[in-house]
Amino acid sequence: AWASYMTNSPTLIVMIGLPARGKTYVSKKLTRYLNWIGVPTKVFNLGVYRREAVKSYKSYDFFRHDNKEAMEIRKRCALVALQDVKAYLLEECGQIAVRLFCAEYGFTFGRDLILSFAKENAFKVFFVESVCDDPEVIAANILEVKVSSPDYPERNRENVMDDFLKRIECYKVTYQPLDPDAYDKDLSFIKVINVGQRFLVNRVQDYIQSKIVYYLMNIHVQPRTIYLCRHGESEYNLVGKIGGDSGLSPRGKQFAQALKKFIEEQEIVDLKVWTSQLKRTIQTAESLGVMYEQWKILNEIDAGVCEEMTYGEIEVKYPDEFALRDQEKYLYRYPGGESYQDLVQRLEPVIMELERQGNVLVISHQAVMRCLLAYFLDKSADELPYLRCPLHTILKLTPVAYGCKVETITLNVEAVNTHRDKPCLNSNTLPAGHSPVRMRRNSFTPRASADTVKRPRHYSVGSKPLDLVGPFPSLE
Amino acid sequence: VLTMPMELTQSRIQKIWLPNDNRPALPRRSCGPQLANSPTVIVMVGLPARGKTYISKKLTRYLNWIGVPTKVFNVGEYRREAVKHYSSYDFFRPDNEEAMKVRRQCALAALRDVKLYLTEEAGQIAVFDATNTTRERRGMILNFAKENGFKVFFIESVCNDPTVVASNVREVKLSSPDYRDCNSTDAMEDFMKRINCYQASYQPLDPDDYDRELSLIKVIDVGRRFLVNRVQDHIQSRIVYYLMNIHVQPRTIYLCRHGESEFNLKGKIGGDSGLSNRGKKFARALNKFVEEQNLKDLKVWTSQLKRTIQTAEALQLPYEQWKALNEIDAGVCEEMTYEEIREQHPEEFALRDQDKYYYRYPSGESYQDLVQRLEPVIMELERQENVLVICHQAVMRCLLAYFLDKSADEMPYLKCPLHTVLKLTPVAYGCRVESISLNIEAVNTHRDRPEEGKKGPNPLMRRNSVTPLASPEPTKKPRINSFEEHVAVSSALPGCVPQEVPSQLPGQ
Repeated sequence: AWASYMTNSPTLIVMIGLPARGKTYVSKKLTRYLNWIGVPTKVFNLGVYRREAVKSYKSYDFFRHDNKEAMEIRKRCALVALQDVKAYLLEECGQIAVRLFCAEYGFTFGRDLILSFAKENAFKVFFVESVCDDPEVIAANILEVKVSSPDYPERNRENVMDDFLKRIECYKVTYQPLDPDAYDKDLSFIKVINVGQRFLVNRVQDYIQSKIVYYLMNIHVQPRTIYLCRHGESEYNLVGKIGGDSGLSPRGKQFAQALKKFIEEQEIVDLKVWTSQLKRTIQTAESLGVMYEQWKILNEIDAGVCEEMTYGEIEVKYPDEFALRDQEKYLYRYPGGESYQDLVQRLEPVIMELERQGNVLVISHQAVMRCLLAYFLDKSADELPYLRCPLHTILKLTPVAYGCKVETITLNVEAVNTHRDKPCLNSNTLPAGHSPVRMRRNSFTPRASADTVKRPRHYSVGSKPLDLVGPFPSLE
Repeated sequence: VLTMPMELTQSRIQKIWLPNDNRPALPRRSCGPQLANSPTVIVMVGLPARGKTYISKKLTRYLNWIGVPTKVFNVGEYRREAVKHYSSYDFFRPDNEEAMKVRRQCALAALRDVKLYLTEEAGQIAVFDATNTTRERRGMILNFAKENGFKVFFIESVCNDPTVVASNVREVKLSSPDYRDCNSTDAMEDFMKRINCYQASYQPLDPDDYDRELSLIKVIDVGRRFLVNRVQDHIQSRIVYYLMNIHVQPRTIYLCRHGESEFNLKGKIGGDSGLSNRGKKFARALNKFVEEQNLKDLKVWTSQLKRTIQTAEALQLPYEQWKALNEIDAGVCEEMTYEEIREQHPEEFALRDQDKYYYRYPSGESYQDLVQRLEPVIMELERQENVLVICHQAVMRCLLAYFLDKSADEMPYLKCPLHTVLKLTPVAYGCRVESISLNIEAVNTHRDRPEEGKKGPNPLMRRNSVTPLASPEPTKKPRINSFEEHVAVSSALPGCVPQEVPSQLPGQ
């Protein structure tokens, strides 16, 4: 049977709020999370449509609410975007569309447009409003992301800040925040106030909205660093056996020492250290001489009947299984064991807690580290099982603007290579009777967040042009 | 001096790797952060009949199940101990100075017990269940918490819908010991007047201004809307998530195991065998049973093991497969009979009987691991309405322990026989359970607790390794003996003049 949430109506998440309130940041992050847990999600950014329509941006004048021609352009862009949303949700099996909706053309009008669009198409609507009255936060947002925006290619910083603040003032004239007590009391939404200090949640309708709220309440924007690495080389690594619970090899112990030194040099404030409950990660952590927490859910993928075998032995003893795994490594579940898909589900609480925390070092295992990395770097299910996570290498992740900077640090202690690239398959290796895998509840398939659609035209591919009168007005 | 990675030994029951050296122990965090953090006082706020006690008890049951030692301190119960007989709402009138004094003393007594629980009885969270409707009272609690280094988290329930309030009163207040000598109409009338006594002095939490520094959640109209301010830590975040997922709609949860399996017949544990003939009979009987229940919108959940899926298939209803509902992984003991385990792994066999909740099969799981694995199932069950969960013996015991508030000690020995459906319906503050045997023979897979239940040494707590505790019995200690004489005469006499004239204290 199909998971019920998959057959639920698709949802349109509408991000609202004045500029520089973190909408794009939250949209992208939320989209990344939803795709990782297996809910196909895509962002539709109005600003991108607008930039396509209006090739050169003159100044904040474009955003003045009394600039009628500009208003027209913005309206049309919104309608085009909505058509694309519809296509994604109905024809491309999207589950959630995140729509960045920046206080366009008088707010209540815009909101009503969205609601009637959603009603016509039987979509659910969930609003995420970002409200911020702390000027320092706003200024920091502007500096961090707007300065490098395509809207400001050749200006210097002060002009940018100035222009942007004036742009915000233009919006303020017509911006109407969500009103839970009266006008908007029947809408489903969350109001995020001052970057997560406070939340107002109204009428959560279903499971996915509840998860979205929980996620938004756990993320933060404080700078911090996440270090991911595997245990030191283990005895089983040396003999090519997978799984099991062996201890560190002599080189693995060397790595543990080197890791300790590396951590000390990083001079990290309040570093939390997490390990699995398998001996090899714990041994690695023990040499750090700091407190650490053992998480069973960080244990390596369970290889079921193939535990403690080498790939060579598996190929001989279970040739069909071996072939199947290479065919569909993400969905493939070891008999009596787990799949990468199962791993992602298992690791979700780790991700949630990583979001809450500050500086963390996670000492885990190859498959586990691949799953965590895929979350931070927005990698799809296809890429995930082939991400490179070699032994004795640390990945240092720092959040930056809308994404994550990753630095690879090799600690120069030799180790075996446990990576298997995706083999080239020919049809002879495919076992007979392989049927498509069904989706099951809480069995997840991460997808990388698809690129934001940038449409230069004023109508979507494949659908008839919008029924608009006349040519586009010029801006001059 | 080089510190070499230590040699490790694995603890025998929980299979946890620990350094086995004689160095002074590293301050290893063997408890989760929420256990090592400061204890928390959850302060309920709201007029009477707003669901505070309901939320307190339910939340406490959940927190204990996930392994966070939690206890409710209900000031009303302290009051009932102190004032043996409740006459009428006059006790709650704001101008009843004598009663005010008693009520304040009860609150203080409860706070003293909170302190004891959190500092000496290994409690992690204390739920202070009272109206706490004034700033003055909340200020007092904040000072108390500050003095003792406790965190504070407020949960306010706001509801002005008269049908909800009336329904609450009917559901839990009319049967309160306060009204045992009253008929329903009189009781209802009195209780409404009682609520009125609080109305004038009620100062709701104000996160926009006065209370902007406090950590709180305002639950509005039974969960239609929430206002959340300054969540401080992991456990508060979990509490908020839980409160946002629970609801009060009437509904029924059915728990049962798969039909008898081939492995059941042979006495083998684990594995992935299909249904025996009797098991198939059960599946058909279950189909008939479900039809007779005549439910609208029943969700059916199974594990991803063949035997539960075969059982669900007989129902001809859509069902969802959850890997999280799979039976406990017996690791190296999978597909063995208990006899074989006793022969081949005698030490493991003995260890399991010694501490069945914490015991983890080598390369397998413990009940403790199961609880962690099942938490998302519980959360989704809370969101849902009518659900039938077809699962396995150990899994069903864990789920049942959550609904019936059973401790880690009892959980592995709860009786969940094959071919029996447990029907759970929420009622008042708890859960009614009806056991329905579908009258199809099956083997008995239950093993009772062995005679010499010798407890092992206190196992280490680890992050996300959880130990359900049943919510402890509420403490009812009058502790205001000096006032008993004063209030021996019914508190319904407003003219009763106390020896001292206490300053007017609004609040409980």
